[in-house]
Amino acid sequence: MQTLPLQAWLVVAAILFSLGLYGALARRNAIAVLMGLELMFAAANLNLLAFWRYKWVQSLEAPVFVTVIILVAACETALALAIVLGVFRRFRNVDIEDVGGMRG
Amino acid sequence: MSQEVALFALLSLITLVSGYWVVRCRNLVHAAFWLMPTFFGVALLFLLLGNELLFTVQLLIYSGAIPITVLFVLMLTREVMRPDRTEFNRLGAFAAAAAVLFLGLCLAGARTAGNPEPPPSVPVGLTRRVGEAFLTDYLLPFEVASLMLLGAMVGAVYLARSDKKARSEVVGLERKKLIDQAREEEKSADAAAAGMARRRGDSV
Repeated sequence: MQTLPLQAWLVVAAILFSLGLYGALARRNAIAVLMGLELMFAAANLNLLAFWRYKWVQSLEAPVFVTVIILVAACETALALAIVLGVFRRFRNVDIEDVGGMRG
Repeated sequence: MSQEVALFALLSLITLVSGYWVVRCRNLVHAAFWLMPTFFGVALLFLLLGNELLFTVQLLIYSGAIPITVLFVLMLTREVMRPDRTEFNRLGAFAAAAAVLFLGLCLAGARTAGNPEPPPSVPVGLTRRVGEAFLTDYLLPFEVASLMLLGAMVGAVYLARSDKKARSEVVGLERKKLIDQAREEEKSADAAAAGMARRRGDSV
């Protein structure tokens, strides 16, 4: 661990987060947008754990917090996929550009 | 020590390359399959950080369960995917610009993180300590999380449940279309037969 700086982890997490952001913003299909969100969750967790390892390794907050984040993300994914299925059933389409029925 | 650096470089390469394919792949089924190596790489990075509990959780939930669920939903909605159409919306260029801008901000922030000296090793029995913490200090978040999981499960089943009325409407429409089509075909077949009979009568 001595030779690996904290910045290396932060850079990897930042690139992963940016990839997820691009995917979430640029995709057409709602399911692909969800995949981008998952990448962002993974990057955030990686960042948290890197800080835990380098600065607060004795505390338990970070592992507990990351566990809860993973759980919340799993719930969110299940619900979002169910909503996507509902939208598909209603509109026969899950394209976020075409399904604009709830636009204000 | 340099072994660790090489491992880190390899794992980040796997994670980032497969993450790139998750967001760039045109075929969404392939993109969902690319999620697996991405999350597997992240899980191994967790292990490299010395947290074997979250390595296991990440491996089970993210590398296993979530790509499978995504694949199921893709399978159920597969008629949406059209190979002739681009998978990116009209904001693609703006999205790329936003992502690059965000990356620049993150890198600028990472430079100010300092260079803390990491402790030589993680405490022994971390998993046990986290488990004990979940049943003592963090009991309330644990219970709330379990309730939320239950609620999300019930909600997902409710949302994804097949709506009998809407479905029968769709089925009815499709059946009507099929009946009309069959009637048309019958009519044209009758016309053809009549024409043939007339021609035969002419020749006789």
